[in-house]
Amino acid sequence: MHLTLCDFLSDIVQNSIESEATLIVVDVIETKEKYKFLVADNGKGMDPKTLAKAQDPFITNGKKHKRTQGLGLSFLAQAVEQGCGTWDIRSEKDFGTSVSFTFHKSHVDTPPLGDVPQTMLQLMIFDGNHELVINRSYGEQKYTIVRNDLKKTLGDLSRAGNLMLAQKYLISLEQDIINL
Amino acid sequence: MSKLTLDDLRKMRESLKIDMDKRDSQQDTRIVVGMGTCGIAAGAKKTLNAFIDELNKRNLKNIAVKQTGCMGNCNVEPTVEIFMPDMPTTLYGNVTEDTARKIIQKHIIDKALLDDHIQDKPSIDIVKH
Repeated sequence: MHLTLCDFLSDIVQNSIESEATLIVVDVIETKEKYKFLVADNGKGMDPKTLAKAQDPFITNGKKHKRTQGLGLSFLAQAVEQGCGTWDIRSEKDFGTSVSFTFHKSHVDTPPLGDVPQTMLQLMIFDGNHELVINRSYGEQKYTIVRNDLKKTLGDLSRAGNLMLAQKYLISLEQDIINL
Repeated sequence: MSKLTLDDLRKMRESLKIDMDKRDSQQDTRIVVGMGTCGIAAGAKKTLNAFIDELNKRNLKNIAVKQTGCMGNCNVEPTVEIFMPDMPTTLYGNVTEDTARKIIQKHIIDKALLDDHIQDKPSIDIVKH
């Protein structure tokens, strides 16, 4: 089971990356009372039958790299139920999928947020040529990270030296909006 | 730390580049961390972080750190596969932050295996069906 809200986010975004999406947009919205997460992709999507199956923890399409379709969403559904949050998934075959979830900060069973910059780094460095845009907001403050900009600036995002620089950059952005 | 811009980042990258070009022998070394549902649940993000941190501490800045989905060894997550010249491709299980740092010292620098963490890959029929 996942520990933090960021872990759920990683899991959902990984599904998008594996769905052959070329564009993935992630919103991480935080207010005084709530967390809201939105993940939308233009990947291969699911027909209504597959979509229903995707929410069953005991079903997976069985091929390597596709197992998360079963467990990831079930974990999310369980956490939402425990923490009285909400979640939704919409998908259209050959068009894309979007997943959203919200949690109340005050609910005792809401998981902790987790490490936002670390999670963003982890999402940015998944292999592939897809574009990934992350919009993060905290009250009125916000920033946006664009994967292609990061790649243009740093080059190969898998090299340890570049990862360290990307990490510094992401931490500085997050601290800037949190510490105001 | 004050807020960095992409320009700041570009400058930092440029000063690093000279350093990175010198070490071509590292280019063929690849560390792949399993980041499926099972990996995430077992703390693979901390493992990933430990690799990035330790590689930079030891100035192994050209080694690649990558991620993949579930590798089929969910019982021993976090799992990590290491590809490098002069060493067999090795799959390690139960790679906590400490073990990640040990892998860099022992496997990557000393070129020796960490016997306690070596895993077999699941048989092909489990992965494919």
